[in-house]
Amino acid sequence: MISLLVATPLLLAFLSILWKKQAEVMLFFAAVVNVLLLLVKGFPNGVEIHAMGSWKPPFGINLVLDNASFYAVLVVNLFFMMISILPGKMKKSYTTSLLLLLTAANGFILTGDLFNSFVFMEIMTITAVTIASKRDNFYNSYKYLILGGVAGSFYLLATVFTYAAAGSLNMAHVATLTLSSGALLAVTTLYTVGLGVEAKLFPLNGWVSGVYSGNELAPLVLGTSVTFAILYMVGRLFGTVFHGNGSETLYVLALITILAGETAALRQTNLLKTFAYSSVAQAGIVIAMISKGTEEAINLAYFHLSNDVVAKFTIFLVAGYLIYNYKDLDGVFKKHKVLGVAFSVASFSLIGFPLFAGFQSKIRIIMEAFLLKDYLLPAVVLLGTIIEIGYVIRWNMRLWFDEEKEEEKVKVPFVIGFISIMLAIILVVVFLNPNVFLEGTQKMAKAIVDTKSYAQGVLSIAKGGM
Amino acid sequence: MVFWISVSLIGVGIYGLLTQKNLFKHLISLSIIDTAVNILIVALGYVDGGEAPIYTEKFSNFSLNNFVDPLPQALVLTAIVIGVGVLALGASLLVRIEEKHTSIDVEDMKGVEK
Repeated sequence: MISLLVATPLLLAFLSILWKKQAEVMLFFAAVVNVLLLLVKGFPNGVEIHAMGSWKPPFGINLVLDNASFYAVLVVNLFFMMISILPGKMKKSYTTSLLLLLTAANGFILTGDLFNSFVFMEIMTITAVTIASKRDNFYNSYKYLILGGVAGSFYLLATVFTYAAAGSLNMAHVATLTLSSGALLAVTTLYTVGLGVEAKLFPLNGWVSGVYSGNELAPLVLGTSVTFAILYMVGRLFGTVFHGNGSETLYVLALITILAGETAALRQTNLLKTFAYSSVAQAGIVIAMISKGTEEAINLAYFHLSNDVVAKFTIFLVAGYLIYNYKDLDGVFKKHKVLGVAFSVASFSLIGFPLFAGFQSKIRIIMEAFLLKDYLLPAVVLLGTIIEIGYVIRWNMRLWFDEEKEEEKVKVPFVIGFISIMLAIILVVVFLNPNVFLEGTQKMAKAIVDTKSYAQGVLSIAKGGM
Repeated sequence: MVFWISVSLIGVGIYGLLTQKNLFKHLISLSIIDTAVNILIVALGYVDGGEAPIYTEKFSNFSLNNFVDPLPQALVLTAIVIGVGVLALGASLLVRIEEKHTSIDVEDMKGVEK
């Protein structure tokens, strides 16, 4: 079953080249099959693996499904399911890339092998670059490719150093070994750079604004599914495999990322760019909490990430659609009240306004940081929130209340209105009952910090056979 | 020795990325970094006077220490293929950039970012 999550979209990606007219249906089919497989299965009881080619761990490549990878892969596939039902115009000619990206994201999350994760990350970068090039956005895609390529090299270098130091590439096996402090420092630093580009960590996030603002599809995919997959891997590597080593660097960079992202967002005059930088800042908050290393901190990191990706999907969906259908966005929500309400709910959720999901995660993050006697993170988060309030209110005022330009009203597809308002409702529901997300994120965090169970679960197959 | 050669090559690649204005040279710099990492991986599995990791009767002086670790070589083959894929995509994007902006110079790209 685990291998099907990777095999189904991969097979359909090839078939979609042969039967182009059915490509959209294939994307929908792949995402739905994966979501159904996961929902029928439910959270796994412990650690399950699929040993590729029957090679017993620590040899060969294995796919691991535990509570952490289950939640991450479910979120990724749910977002792809929503992307698959968007109007064909929005994803025209990019369905094969989307199927390959789904394959790579699922593989990246599920793999228990360091080198294999590098391979999937590179496939993810390549497909993401092709999606980013939509609407002739070639130069920004090129920049992303170069940065992604350099990050890939550093990720590979980190993997090679891990192999040199530990003699193994299996994550569970490496987690059971004691590496020298020098090796750990080198490896974690290289992984920070390797993951930093995709995780939008300062100063490696120069590509974000150009790619996110270049078309309507890239931010929807990269800002939600890919971000979740990468930040899952940050937790898995730094939390499970390296036992929190190297998280100090991650923490400092995350704090700078929050402030740099919010400040840059405030200065933007382009709607998509503003929220692209906002994504950078939110990723900073998530990474800062992951680097704390405790179960509750990691739980809140992924809880905040879940809220953020739902809000960002709504914002990018609404903004992306309107921006390519109107010359001027001033007062555009007077014509599209449903989209306007969804956008406002999502943007106010981002700043942590009471009534919306973001409030639950931000207040809990601040309180948890105080409990851990960390006063810097709350200060940075609060300062970031103040800046955030500035640009969120500015954009809402402009989109709702500015003088409307005499442009003809564009008919918005039902799917866009439906998805955006449903996601806005989810943000309110999560505020009223945070357990909707917390039940999953708590299990995820527990699985990430419980290195012993992870290692035993994966490696026990070496003794017990298939 | 090989380690320092590899590190130097990575430095050359990064220097190229930071200083060159021609976008094609960025691609070459990326290729240099890729190659440097690949050299390091191959060197990792190198054993002086080593044998292929296949046991046959002809090895009378059989010793595990003489076997070359095949894993780095397998890894490097995959890494090369991925590197070529990235370069190919980069080259195709460069063609489209040249078509659209009639230049592949960083200076001419100012303001391209929307």
